[in-house]
Amino acid sequence: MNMLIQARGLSKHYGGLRALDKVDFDIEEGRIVGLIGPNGAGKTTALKAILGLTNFEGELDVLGHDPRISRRQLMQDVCFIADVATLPRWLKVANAIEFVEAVHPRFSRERARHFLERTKISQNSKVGQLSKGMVTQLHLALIMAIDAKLLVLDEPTIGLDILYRKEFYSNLLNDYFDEKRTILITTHQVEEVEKLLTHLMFINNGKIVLDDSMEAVAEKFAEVLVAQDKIAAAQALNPINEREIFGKKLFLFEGVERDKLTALGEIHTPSIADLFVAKMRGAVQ
Amino acid sequence: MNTMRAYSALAKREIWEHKSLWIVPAVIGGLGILLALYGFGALLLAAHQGMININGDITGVNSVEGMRAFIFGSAAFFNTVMLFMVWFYLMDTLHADRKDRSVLFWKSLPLSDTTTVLSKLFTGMVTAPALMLAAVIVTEIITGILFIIALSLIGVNVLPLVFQPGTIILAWITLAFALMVQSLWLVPFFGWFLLCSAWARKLVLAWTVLIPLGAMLVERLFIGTHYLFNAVFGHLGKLFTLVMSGRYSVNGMTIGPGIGFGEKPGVFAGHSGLMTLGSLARVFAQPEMWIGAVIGAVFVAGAIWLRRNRSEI
Repeated sequence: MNMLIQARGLSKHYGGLRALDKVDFDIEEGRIVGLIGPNGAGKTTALKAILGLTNFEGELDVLGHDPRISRRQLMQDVCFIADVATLPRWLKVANAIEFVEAVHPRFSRERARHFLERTKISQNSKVGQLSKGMVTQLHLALIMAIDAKLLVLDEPTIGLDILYRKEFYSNLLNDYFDEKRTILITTHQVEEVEKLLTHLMFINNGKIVLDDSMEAVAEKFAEVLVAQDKIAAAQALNPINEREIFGKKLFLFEGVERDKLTALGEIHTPSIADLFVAKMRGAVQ
Repeated sequence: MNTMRAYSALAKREIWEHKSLWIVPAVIGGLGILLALYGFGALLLAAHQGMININGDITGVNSVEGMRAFIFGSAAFFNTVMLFMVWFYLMDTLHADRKDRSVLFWKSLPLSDTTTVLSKLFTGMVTAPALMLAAVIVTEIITGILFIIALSLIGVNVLPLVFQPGTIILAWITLAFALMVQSLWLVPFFGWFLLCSAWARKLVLAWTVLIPLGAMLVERLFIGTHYLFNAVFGHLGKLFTLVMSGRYSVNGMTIGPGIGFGEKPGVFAGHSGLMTLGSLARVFAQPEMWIGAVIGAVFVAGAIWLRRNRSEI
């Protein structure tokens, strides 16, 4: 496996606030990693460090580069969409293509045109005349036309309607992703990326609280709907979360053997959102 | 990456964003031509109604100096407007994309911050004057032709007077050289505007003006001197005396072509007070030119550092 990103003791302080607190993680080639965390958890700081947009302490290797030093070389292999609609309003679609083609050695005009043909975006439009959803389509078309190794997406679909959001991720998966590419996504709309991800990372208060493949997550965590008479037995197994649903109780377990759980009720794999809530709250009091 | 192609895309990018770089010179040129049409129309009308009587004798007119005065004189107005335009461009250029967050898009491309900032300095120093020079040349050709036609209609043939390709082309080359010397002379100002543009969160204009004025005031009140005031306004003033009219100073004595008011007639006789290639070349011998360039480079380096490390508002 090819290691794309290696972070060791990655830290960043904003005054007294620890945005990242001696974080270690690895990201291998061919993964789609979801970096999930509450506001202010350090997600964006981590992405900015990877993209060379901020200074940090500790070690960070992205595709063999220190992002603080060789940003320009790094950006030949790394693409990113930071937030929606960061394309300037005055830019004409045709000029955007012309510019990126001139400065990016791995950009293909044909591919960009191919992606744009599926949209209603005209080459003569200015970004300012497009809807927010169309600006995102344009940005994604520009990015997907670049043959990069790593794509970083920071809240790429926030504020878009559901049609654009669905389309965004299906384009990404069907037309872009392959085993040679790696995608790192942060988003609040966890449900939408759930089926996309191969790996999951939770970050809270500047620390990584979960870092696993989706298979490992499915093995490690189990959600069980328990009838009233078995509640005490379930609570004895130290669930990390419990909530009431239709008069029964839904328990979330971490690292409990399946045999013990099947006796309690039907087992499901928890959704990322439920897992997230449980992990962020900590264990049930 | 084809480097030349990237640089030319960067230069074009600035014109896409700041259309005023070509619209303003084009509008001034258009107004100049309208004004010339109005003037020639008035002249024709006056001649037709016999209000003025034109004596067609043009012998004794110093046509070479006349043409140079026409070419430099009409360029002067373009240039004054352009300098203000470049000021506003440089203040805006690093600030606007921080404000609309498009800096995040530009930074996602494999371009160094040094290249980006230098492309903006280049736009102020070379692209803007080049677009202005193009507008000046077109305007001068059209007004020149209108002048020939207008006077021929009242029976004066000024063609031999006006049609002096050698003089005209030399004057345009001199003008181009003067614009480059002017850009180099103004590098400390340009660098300062870029630095403010990269630094200020808002009100860039206020910062570009208030910080130097504040520093001058502090110097005046607490030290009692006015070196900064003299340095800034002296440098700016010399743009017009030293660069544009070719006067320069040696051991406190002003020498070179002058307009001639109150100056020793012997020294200045025969000069119209207009710049020449020689007078412009002598500007490079001024230590002040190089001191300014060093200060400008420091400001530009600061702007690059800010673009690299503090780009978000």
